[in-house]
Amino acid sequence: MKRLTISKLMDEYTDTEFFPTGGSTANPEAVKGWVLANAKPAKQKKQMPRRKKVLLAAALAAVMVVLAGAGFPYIQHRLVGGTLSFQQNADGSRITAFVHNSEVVKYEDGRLIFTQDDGQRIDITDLVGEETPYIYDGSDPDTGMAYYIIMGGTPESFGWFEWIQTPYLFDDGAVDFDENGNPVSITSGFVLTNPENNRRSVGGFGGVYWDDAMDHPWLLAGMEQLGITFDEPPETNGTSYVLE
Amino acid sequence: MTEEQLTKALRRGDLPALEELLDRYTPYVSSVIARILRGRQADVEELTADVFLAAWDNRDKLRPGQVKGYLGAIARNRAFNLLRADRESLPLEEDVLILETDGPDKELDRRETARIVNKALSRLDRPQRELFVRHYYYGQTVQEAALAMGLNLSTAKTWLRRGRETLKAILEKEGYGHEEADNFQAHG
Repeated sequence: MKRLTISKLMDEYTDTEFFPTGGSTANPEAVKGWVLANAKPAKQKKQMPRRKKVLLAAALAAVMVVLAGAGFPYIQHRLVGGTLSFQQNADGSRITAFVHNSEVVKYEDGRLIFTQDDGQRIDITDLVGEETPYIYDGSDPDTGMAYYIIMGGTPESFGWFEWIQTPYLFDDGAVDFDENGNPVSITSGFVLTNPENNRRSVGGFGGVYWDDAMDHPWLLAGMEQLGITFDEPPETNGTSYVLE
Repeated sequence: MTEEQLTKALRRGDLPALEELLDRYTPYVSSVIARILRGRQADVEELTADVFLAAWDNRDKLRPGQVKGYLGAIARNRAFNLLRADRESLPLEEDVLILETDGPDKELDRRETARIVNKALSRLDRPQRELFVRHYYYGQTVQEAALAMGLNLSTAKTWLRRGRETLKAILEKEGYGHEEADNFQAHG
């Protein structure tokens, strides 16, 4: 038989929905005066020299390739929208898989709720619009992975786009290269949904559903903000399907 | 100034942005603390200032859409920790869960706690979740929370019981528990 204190468990909770008001008793001017008098000035952050950044990125990519070449079987990144896996099978074949979780943004009682990987719920209703994106940055500097989710739209029609760039693990075939010339793997997914939470995957930017992307200014604004670009649109679009 | 502009300016270390943060959120932060530290006015003001100093020192963590929640969490936890340090407590309804676990104990770290609490609360209807948060997170009495939400006391107590049962069920199913509540490390 074990005992747990609920109010102690709630130490790890963050309210993002309710914010009960009333009952403020502090003198705002007194608080402000104390804080401004005691706030430490900002230190000038040292910027890593560009050459060192390039070498670091190249070293990381090289390590990943060596690991893969040595038979490292499986590297997986857990993400808000699902998981990204790099796997090397016994026969030497390689797989990159992106398993997409469709629960990134949901419609609840007229609000748009974004649920982070740790379960924290963010009400983004007032932060997004037809032309206004909300961007989640889940990048991991330790592994060199850049990961963003661009969310936008209105409660009537909203969606999200995930973009993942990692150092490329395998030295075969067609790869993309970052601005420093290092090989990278880029994976993306784009989902549109509605108040009934009927989701439609419009695929990734391997070239399909270009026309759909053009219909969503919030997506284009978010990509512009992040500096994400892609090549010329395909000559034909692929087909869409409804997720259960 | 949008919240995105505000958080960017804070990350740059702009003091006017800190003033803006204070202007926007001092009433909320102090109300969170005052609700927990009832009758301790001097502590309320000092702790309110501490919250903003902590936010300033950790301004790299501030993200648009999350500022109020972040400040509220610091405020709430610091106020609760002050009560605990003084061996005081709030009149919370059945604050201790008794778990029946069969398997070996699993350590409940902070990340897992957050996941489980969020999972349990997401299973409640919004009004039930609000009541649970008002009582166990913000420290409102059942009467205060019920009044604020327009509920009768009996309904409020029923809803809180459902919230406790949901949380307990998830904890038991996932095999978590501790020998004593005091074994939790103080943090915040």
